[in-house]
Amino acid sequence: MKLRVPTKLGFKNPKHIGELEVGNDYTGGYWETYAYNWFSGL
Amino acid sequence: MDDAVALFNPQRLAREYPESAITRPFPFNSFYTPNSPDKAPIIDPVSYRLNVTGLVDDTSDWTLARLYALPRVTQITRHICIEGWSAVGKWSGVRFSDFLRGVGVDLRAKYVTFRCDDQYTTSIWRPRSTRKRSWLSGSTTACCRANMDFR
Repeated sequence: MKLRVPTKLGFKNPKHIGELEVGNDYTGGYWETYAYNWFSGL
Repeated sequence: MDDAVALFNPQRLAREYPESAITRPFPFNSFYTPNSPDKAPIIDPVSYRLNVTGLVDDTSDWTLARLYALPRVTQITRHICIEGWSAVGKWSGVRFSDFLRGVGVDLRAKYVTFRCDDQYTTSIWRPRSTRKRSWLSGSTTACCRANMDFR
């Protein structure tokens, strides 16, 4: 299962999705912990 | 708040390409090393469940059959990697905004977080998730195989 968002960089297009959670708390992500830009729009 | 949020025009959709523009082979890329599809998780399509949690009315699990029963759309768009390469690919699946509205997403919620079977995670704006061209694509391994079939 993949989310395809063509308006964002590839690392914002997760694959092998097992869970999606809707919430109000910022959760960031894997690359975001290495200071990659969270929004990463094109 | 990211400046790009204000700069970005939410009415503009990503450019689409003809079938002839699809990149073959389509590159495989992973967050882990070495970068190889051999390390990609093997998902059993029968037991696979997509868990939907948090601020939605319907938190029931999704089987592949249930997902496949949703209206499907296809896009041929350019996947652009932060590493500097790009490739045109073809993806099919349910429009993500339709999916979220279908499970009764809280339209005041800020984020959608994705947790993956290879332990990857990322998150996006919930408001942007109602854009027309964000799609939950394909199936589990079948989807990845399909992408890899571009090779």
